[in-house]
Parts: sequence; C-alpha cells; structure tokens
Amino acid sequence: MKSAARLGIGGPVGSGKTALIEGIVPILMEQGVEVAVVTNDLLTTEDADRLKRKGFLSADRIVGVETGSCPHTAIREDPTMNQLAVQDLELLFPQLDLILIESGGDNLASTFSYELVDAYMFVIDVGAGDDIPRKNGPGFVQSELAVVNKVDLAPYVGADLELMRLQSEQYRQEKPVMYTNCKTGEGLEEVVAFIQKTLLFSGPMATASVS
Amino acid sequence: MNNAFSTPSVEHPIEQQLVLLQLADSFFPSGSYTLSHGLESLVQEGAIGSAKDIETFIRILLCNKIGGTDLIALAHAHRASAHQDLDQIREIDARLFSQTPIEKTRTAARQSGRALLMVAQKTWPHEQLEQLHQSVASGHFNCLHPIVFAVVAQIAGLNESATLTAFIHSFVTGLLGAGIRLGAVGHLQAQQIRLSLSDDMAEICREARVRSLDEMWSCTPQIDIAQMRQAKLSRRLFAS
Repeated sequence: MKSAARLGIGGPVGSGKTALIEGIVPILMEQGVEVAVVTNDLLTTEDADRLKRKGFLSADRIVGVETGSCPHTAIREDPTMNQLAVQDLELLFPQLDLILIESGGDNLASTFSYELVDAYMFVIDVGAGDDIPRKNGPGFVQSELAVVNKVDLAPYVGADLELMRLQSEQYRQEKPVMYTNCKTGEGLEEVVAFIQKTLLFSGPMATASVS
Repeated sequence: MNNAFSTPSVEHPIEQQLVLLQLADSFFPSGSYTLSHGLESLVQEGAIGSAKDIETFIRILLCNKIGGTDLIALAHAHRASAHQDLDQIREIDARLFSQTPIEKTRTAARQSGRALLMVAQKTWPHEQLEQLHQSVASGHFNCLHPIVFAVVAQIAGLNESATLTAFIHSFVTGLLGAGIRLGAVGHLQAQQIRLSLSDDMAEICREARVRSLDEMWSCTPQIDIAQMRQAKLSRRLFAS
C-alpha cells in the first residue's frame, strides 16, 4: 500500500489556516492530487456545517481529532491520535496522495513532530504585528514553508510588509516564505507549487531535475 | 522471538520501578490527554463545578465502574499474557467490550488502545504485540486500552500488582488534568484530590485481583448518560 505525503499546517489562532486549506485544496484537486484533511480545531457543529456548505471535499475526507485543549501536544509530544486518523484515512482511501494535518491554533513555538508529518507550513498574518518574524519563534523559523497571510490588510493595521519580508528571509535563513491573500487567491498557486515540488515530487522543477 | 531489551525481573526492583514510571507517566504518548470520560459533558451542563464535585465524580467512576470492569479485565489479561494465551487475551477483550455499551466510550478505549499498541510495538517489540496488531486488522481484537496496557506491561516486565497501580495512576492523573483544563479544578486542589483518592485506588486494585471475569459489573447511570451526551456536544475539546 502506498503511503500519502503528510503536510502539517500550524500557526496562531485566526491566522488563516482553515482559509488557506479551503484555498489550496481545490487547486490541488484540479491538478489531480487526491487529498484528505485532519483537523485539530475545536470541534463544533458550525465547522461541520461550514465544510458541508463549502463542499470542496467530501465530508468523509475530513476527520476531526479532539485535542483536549492541548493543540501543541497533539502535533508534537503525543501525536498518536493524529497518526491513527492518518492511518484510518489511508485505509479508507488507498489512492490518497496528500494528507493535510491542521493544528489547532497555537503559539509561535509550536512545531510538528517529524514522526507525524513529512513537512509543515507555518501561517501567520500581518494583523498580528510585523514583529512576528523577528521574534524567532521555532514554529515560524523552522517550518519548511512560512506563509504570511492577509497581506491586503497591511496598510490598515500599520504593518510594514517590506520589513516582514526582510526579517522573514533573515531569520529563516533562505527557507521559503510566501505571501498570500486567501480572499482573492493571491499567492495560493505558489503554495501549491511548493507542495507539488517538496512533497509530491512533481511540477516543473522536479521534472527538470529528473530529465 | 528475541527481544532487543532485557526484561526486568523481581530481582531488579529499580528496573521494575522505572518501567512502572515510564508506563504510568502522563508524558507516555497514547492520547490519554484527549479523554474526559464524561467530565466535559457534566461541566458544560453545570452538574460539576467545584473541586468537591470532581472528587466525587472520580470516586464514583473508580469504585462503581473502572474497578469492576477495566481493572478486573486488566488483571486477567496480564495473567493470560504471562501464559502466552492470546486466545484468552482476545476473549477478555471481548468480555470487556460487552461491558462497555456506550459507543463513545468504546471508541475512545479502542483509540487509546491502538495508540498504546502502536507506541509499544516500537518501544518493546514482541511477538504478542505483533499478533494482537494483526488481530485488530482482521477484526478479532477490539484493542481496548486496559487489555493492551496489561499485555504491554507484562511484556515490559511489570508484575500484576504494579500493572494495576500504573494503570489506575495514569487514569486518575489524566482525569484530573482534564478537570484542570476544563477550568473545574485548580492545580493545588487536583493534588489534594489525588491524595485523598489513594485509599480507594489501592482498594479497587486489590479487589480486582481476586475477582473472576463473571463478576465484572458497573453502575454509574449519571456518568453513563454524560458519556453518551459527549458525542452530541456542539462544542467539545475532548474525545470522550
């Protein structure tokens, strides 16, 4: 049985992790990628209703894992419940290429266990302050991809996007940083290209390296 | 099957205690922090709001349910594992399953049992664990947490009494942790409750060792209803 690639999505509450998933999953599906999602959000029927209304992914491909209000434990110290959810999805959908594991919102120090995921993205938003990159939080600094979301809001919340760009590059030591606006879709193609190249080993760059 | 680790025996009490501490530690990864055993539901509906309520809740759960079901099954499963009797282990698992009629509670017990088995297979590799893993896949083993715990502890070298102690300790501390995170009890009160429960914890462990499987029983109607309601909560943090 093939095993699906696993991508963690971490970041503070309200930074846009769910919106990012809602934005990239349809693009991945268009490109023929078989996707499922494990979410560690606070479980509410509102969330389920929202996903049903969106209808971008069949409901049985979205699994909620309760974290007993320990979001970082569920992705790092004791990711067993997430691992079981991943195993069950793989049994149910053997054709899966990619499983996204969305952390419940957490602080800048939250990192994923590499026994749970192959790579993870860390999502922040400009509204939380343009000093986030230089706070050197392990989640933001160590992640394979950092996403700065809600870039359209920068002028309204007094965030200096150029400073964020500069310091993100400086603190992440040339690991990729992408800038998105999930409302308009800005930057989402780049995020998908990163997933294709890094986790699914396809796309222009991977093909070039093979040929 | 040869094992990479040496099994501590009674001649090595410190090694025994180290195994006990490793297995009973809330740091041990088997998802226990996601369980509240009906406590979240009772806190949400306002039935539990004080440290005294929490203590009563845990005491009833221990004396009227866990002691009479999980612990009896656990003691028997430990003996069956020591006798390398896998059929008997599966039989005890089925008997405990029949004593656990609430779907949410069953699911939670299976999930944490699967998590424990997954971690134990990597930590204490052993043929019994491999065979139980295959039995889960073929649908012949429910993989309830107390049963897996008994087998893992036996393989790791813990005697029956220490296994019961480790199980009940992690059960109670897990529940107190849930109480703290639900805001129903403080960290100091939690330690006081833990201490005041010691006599009951010890008593149900002693009792479980002399009971037959036919003597399994439980009677916790209000907690049962709370565990059923957990599945219907519109907002919840815990899996049970």
